[in-house]
Amino acid sequence: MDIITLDNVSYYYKTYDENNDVSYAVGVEGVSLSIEEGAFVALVGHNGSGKSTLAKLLNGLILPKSGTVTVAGLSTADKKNLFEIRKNVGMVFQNPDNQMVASIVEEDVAFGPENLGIPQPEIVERVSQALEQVGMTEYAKRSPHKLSGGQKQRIAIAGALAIRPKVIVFDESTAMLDPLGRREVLNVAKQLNKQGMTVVLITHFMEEVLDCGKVVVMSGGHVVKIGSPMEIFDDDRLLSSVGLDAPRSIALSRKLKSAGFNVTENCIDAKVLGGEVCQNLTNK
Amino acid sequence: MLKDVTFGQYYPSNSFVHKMDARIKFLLCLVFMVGIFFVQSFVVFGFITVFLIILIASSRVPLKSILKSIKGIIVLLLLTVVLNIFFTKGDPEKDKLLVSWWIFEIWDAGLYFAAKMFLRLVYLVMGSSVLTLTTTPVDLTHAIESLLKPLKVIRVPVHELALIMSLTLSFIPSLMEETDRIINAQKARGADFDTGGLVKRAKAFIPILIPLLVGGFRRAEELANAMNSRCYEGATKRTQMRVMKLTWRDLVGTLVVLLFFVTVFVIFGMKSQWINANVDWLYINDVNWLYF
Amino acid sequence: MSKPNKQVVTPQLVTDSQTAIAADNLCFTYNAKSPFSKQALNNITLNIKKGEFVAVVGHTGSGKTTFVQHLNALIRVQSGELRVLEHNLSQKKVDLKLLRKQVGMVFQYPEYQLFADSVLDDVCFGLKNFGLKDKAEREALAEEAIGLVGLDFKEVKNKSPFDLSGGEKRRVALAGVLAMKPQILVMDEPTAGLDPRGKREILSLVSSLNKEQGITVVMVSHDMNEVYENADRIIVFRDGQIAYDTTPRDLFRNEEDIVSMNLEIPHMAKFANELERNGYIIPDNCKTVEQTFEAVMRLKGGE
Repeated sequence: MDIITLDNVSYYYKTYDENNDVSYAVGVEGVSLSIEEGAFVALVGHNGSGKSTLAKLLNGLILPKSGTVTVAGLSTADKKNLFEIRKNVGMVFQNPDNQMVASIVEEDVAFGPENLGIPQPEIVERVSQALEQVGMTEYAKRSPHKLSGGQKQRIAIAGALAIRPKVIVFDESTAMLDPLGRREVLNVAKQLNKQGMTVVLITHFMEEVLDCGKVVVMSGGHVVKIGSPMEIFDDDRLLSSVGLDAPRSIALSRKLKSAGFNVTENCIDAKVLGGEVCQNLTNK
Repeated sequence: MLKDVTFGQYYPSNSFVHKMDARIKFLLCLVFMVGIFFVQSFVVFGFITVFLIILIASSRVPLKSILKSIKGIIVLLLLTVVLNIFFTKGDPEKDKLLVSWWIFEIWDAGLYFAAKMFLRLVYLVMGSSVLTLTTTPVDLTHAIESLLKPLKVIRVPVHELALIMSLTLSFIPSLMEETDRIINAQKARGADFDTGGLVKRAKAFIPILIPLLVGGFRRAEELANAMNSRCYEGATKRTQMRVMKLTWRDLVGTLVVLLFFVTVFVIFGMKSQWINANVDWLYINDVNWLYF
Repeated sequence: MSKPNKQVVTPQLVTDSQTAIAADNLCFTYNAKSPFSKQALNNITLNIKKGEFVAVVGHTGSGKTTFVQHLNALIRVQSGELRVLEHNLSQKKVDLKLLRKQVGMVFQYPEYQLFADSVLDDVCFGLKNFGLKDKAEREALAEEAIGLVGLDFKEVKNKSPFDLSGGEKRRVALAGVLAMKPQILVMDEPTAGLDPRGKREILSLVSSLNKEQGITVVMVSHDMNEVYENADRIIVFRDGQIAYDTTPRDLFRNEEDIVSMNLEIPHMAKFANELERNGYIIPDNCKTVEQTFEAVMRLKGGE
């Protein structure tokens, strides 16, 4: 069953030139897309490709200028639906510092359930469960600002989880993190998906999409390709035309394969690839 | 470095006073402040001193941290003492003129009064710093929100005010870091904040203020998105995770403080010059109001 | 008998005209003398030659940022000795203006420091501060720098920097530093937050500044793949000390130790290491996918 469907959605940004004349820039244009419940979908594209605009359309932070976005059967165009939609679609943003509302971890996580008007004992339960899901239980009473970037993002994820959404959208949540922090966030995303959560991962790091079921490639506000990660990597002309890179190990394995080496295609582990190449060289 | 500035001077501990409800602490602090306002005699100040010693001991906050807070009002203290010594005119029939020089007269009453003012100010700051040292800024915010709740009836946006306080608290550290970074970046581009006249120096801050402001708007927008995504719709139907529950500690604390003040005032209230209610006191009190 | 010399004799730092940065026993403690004191640098000794491309890596809190902030005296030397070009930063008196003009510093997310009404004014800010009075001369330098970062001078010069895209803003910020014609370029994660194309463009710009103009580059980075391919030398900070100071290829031969520091092994290094373990040698200068592929083809074709 599809939890989110976009039907021919367009969104334009108002821009002003030097003479203060209004013109419109494409955010996204003519996007149709459906996301199944329980899926792990990656949305990739260069900066300005429209992927973050798409994210904000998913929970009604912005509304389509044309077309419809439907979440669990509810259209985002109807203002009365927004509360219900946001209960279903949690969102984690790019800058961990700009999404904290409280100076104590557990109070920040409680913000969502408090807004839902949930009775106090259940809030406590939800907060402790959410913190456990992201492995941050021991930090409940701490101040978030002393934590690492990855830990802060895990708090932000817990804040979304406490609302008990069906979908979590990671809007470039790894872009500002170091490799360690990125791994932390990605591991949580994968784990949540295993437990049945629908995950939409927005990123420009192609290494992060390897475990996704479906990759949506965006460029210039349009969806240019939808496919499995391997299908996307197969199309290296498309990748370079939209300014994305296959992980180096995969790029090398593809080159070797086409040069006649007997290696795993799209091999992400360079060590495995190295071993295979050695066998090829030895058995020559 | 700016980020080393600590906000709210909370001293973490698990003491009796720490565990008390922030609302009760806040109210008792008010009682204490009003109480020492009425004290006029050194004997009573002696009792207050004992009270403070017990309070500080039971809060397990090092005396050093509390004395540190007095440093902040040292100028005000000196000013108060000096003004009171020189400008308190004694009653020639009752008081003794100690020194008289040019237009200055120092009376024994002035000395007494200056000493009392000194003690009053110091104790006021010590008392309130026990509150801030044993209560986190977050708890204080909640306490104030809770205590102000009745004002909702007259349409004071209590929830919004508390939210603003809480957001401010959570944004201060990252704003400090950002300021630090911008200052360094502009310094690296040759910006000079330390030399030149007033106008030049004021102008030198533009390259810091504008990026901060622009950054502030960016943060505000991102924060608004984050809050909306987490179903924020204002105060209506909102619940709260934190329940402020009164415990036996609050009862004991309240009883101790109230009993102390009631006892002291009843016993010493009979001797009018100790807790003064006579005409002299009214006169001195005029001066009092000048400094409070 | 002459008076005993009171001064502690420190080994004189050997510097010559080829030295860009030399540090000897550099130490730094934040909040010294307070209970919150934290030692950030502990006996840092190193020598960077003019024209080198040095990467500084290490995870958060390893001291790398503290170290690079010493290089243009944003942090002053507490103990030990530090020389940068002709400046002795251990001494109290330093010609800060000249130093900061010679050592260009690009901070993390430099686009957040833009402030002026126009791109031109912003790029000229440093030039003005460093005392270049002639407006035409400033504009000429700004034009050159804006061209260098790949923007069209005529098109952007009168635009507000806030109307540009994220990637363009970063280039403007970079131009503001390059306009001062620094001899040393210190960059703190210059590619953070950029997409792959943006990263590649910034890195190739930095590389060409280094190779063609001879600018000494000191770059802090978390991305081991980019560091591996671009730097001549990598300095790894760990707990305020230098853990490694060696070539990229040699550094990543220590796989276990690098991983234990929460750093990643670049794909191509991992690949080359595995081949090496099996007796096949990928030359040390083959670090990109392209070069590695060609090296493998040579191995296949040889013999």
